[in-house]
Amino acid sequence: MKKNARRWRFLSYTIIIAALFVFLFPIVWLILGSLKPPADLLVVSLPNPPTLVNYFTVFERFPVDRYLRNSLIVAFGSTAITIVVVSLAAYGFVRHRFQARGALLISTLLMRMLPAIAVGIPIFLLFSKLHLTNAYLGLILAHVALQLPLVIWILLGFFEDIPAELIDAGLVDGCNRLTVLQRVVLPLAAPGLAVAAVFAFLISWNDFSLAFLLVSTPSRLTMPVGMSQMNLQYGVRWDNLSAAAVMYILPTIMLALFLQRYIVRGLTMGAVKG
Amino acid sequence: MRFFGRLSDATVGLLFVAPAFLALLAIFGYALGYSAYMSFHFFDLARPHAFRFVGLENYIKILGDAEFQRALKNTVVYTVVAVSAEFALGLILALALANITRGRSWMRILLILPMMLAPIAMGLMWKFMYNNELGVINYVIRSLGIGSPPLWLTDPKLALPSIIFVDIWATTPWFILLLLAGLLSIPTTYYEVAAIDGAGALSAFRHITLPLLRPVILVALLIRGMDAFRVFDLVYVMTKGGPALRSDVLSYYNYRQAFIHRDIGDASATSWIMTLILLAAGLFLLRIMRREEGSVM
Repeated sequence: MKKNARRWRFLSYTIIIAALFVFLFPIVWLILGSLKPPADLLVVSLPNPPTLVNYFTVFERFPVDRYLRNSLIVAFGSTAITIVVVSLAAYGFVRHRFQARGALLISTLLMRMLPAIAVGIPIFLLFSKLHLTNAYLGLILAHVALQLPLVIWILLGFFEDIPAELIDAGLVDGCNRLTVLQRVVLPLAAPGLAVAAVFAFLISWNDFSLAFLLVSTPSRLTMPVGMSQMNLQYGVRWDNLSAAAVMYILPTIMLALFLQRYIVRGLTMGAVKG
Repeated sequence: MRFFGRLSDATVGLLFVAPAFLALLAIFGYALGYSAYMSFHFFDLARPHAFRFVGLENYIKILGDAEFQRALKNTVVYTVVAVSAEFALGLILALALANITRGRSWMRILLILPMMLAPIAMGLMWKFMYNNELGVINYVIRSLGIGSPPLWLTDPKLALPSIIFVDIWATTPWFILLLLAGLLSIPTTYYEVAAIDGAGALSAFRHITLPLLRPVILVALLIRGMDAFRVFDLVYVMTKGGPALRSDVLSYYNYRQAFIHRDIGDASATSWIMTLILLAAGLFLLRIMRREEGSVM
């Protein structure tokens, strides 16, 4: 029996280590490739010696600084709006019972499941009329809509953990509902707000479909769309493209590490608590 | 601020949630309403004056379109193959992770990385590896002595499977995390009792693990199935549906209708066909989540 358990454990470790190799290799390979001198790109090899030259030339050849700046503006802008709006909504859901409550919550779940292209086509036509295509504001608003459903559910989970007595005590002490939200609820939910904000940021940072449909002016492209164009216009410069891709995924990797405890909850809209 | 005091509790609640829902209604509500309306009209952006009501004509035309049928078939193949492979691999790896104690947490962290990356980044990464001259995959195959390795993304037979493979790579970790969370929530006493009763590992798996994991499995399959069904980014960046539309999917077909053929009526009908399929799956998911409340929620 004991020997059997040891054998299972050994098999488990073997499977896991093989899987880790498969899952991490492409990412490691991309990073290694970005450190290779361009002349070595035609040979499959390790970077020898490693160089940062691709990271400099990519800025000279492509407007990557603009792409990055556009992505940051849109991601921070949409996250800020989403967090304010969602804080109010989550508080409303936790503290108040009203008839439409269940229906509204369920409708957010269903909105999350709509295909981006199907939503993007009418939005593109509407925004064209309103001069919101090729504009930061238009993409920010579209990303807010993309973020809202998931972020409401994440924040709801955190708000539900706040003891109702604390809120009641605040109300008795003369706070009105908005100041209670500001002075009692939000400070207590600070970690939840941080997690929600990071998820919101990543949704915007990683979005390709809507950014692709709503923005076509070269100077306004976000990083993912810009990278897909780098690929088209100039023939493929894999040396520069891999440097750009590394710069693009680095923030994601760092934020994912920050989020790891909450990831299961976030990715299933709270359906499964990790 | 006196103002709040005089309102009923329910009204105040509605006021708090109003901004979020007005925003959602403005974007999604408008989009769905607009495309529902347009799906019953002839609306070609190049000939806006020819706009007219056509009833179900757009739907009938699309359902009979060979390109639509291929995109639908590819999308279904993509969804079924990717999600079942991800589930099977995810379950094996989750069981392996549940079976070990040392190193589990940092292995979990490392597994999170691929699935958090933007699909565009994954697509580019793999396009580079699939490349015939520069790619590491064909380099390895050649060094094994095979003269002409497959052209992963340009061979009509291999393009779709190659994209599906990337999806499996990217999303198996998602299943691992989810199923591991489910496995770890099963009390170990169940297994101890089963062992005392003389049950082997296999029968414990069949009679304890699987039934208790069932709600998590269903939720995971449905959420991932819906994601795979609307895939766009990966296909766009890796093959643009090619070669000769052999790796076309519904979202990319829908994109072409609107932005290449500029036919909004047809595009809206396709959007609604996709939306209806996804809504049906979504409502089914909600039913499961309600029924299993407590074990899932």
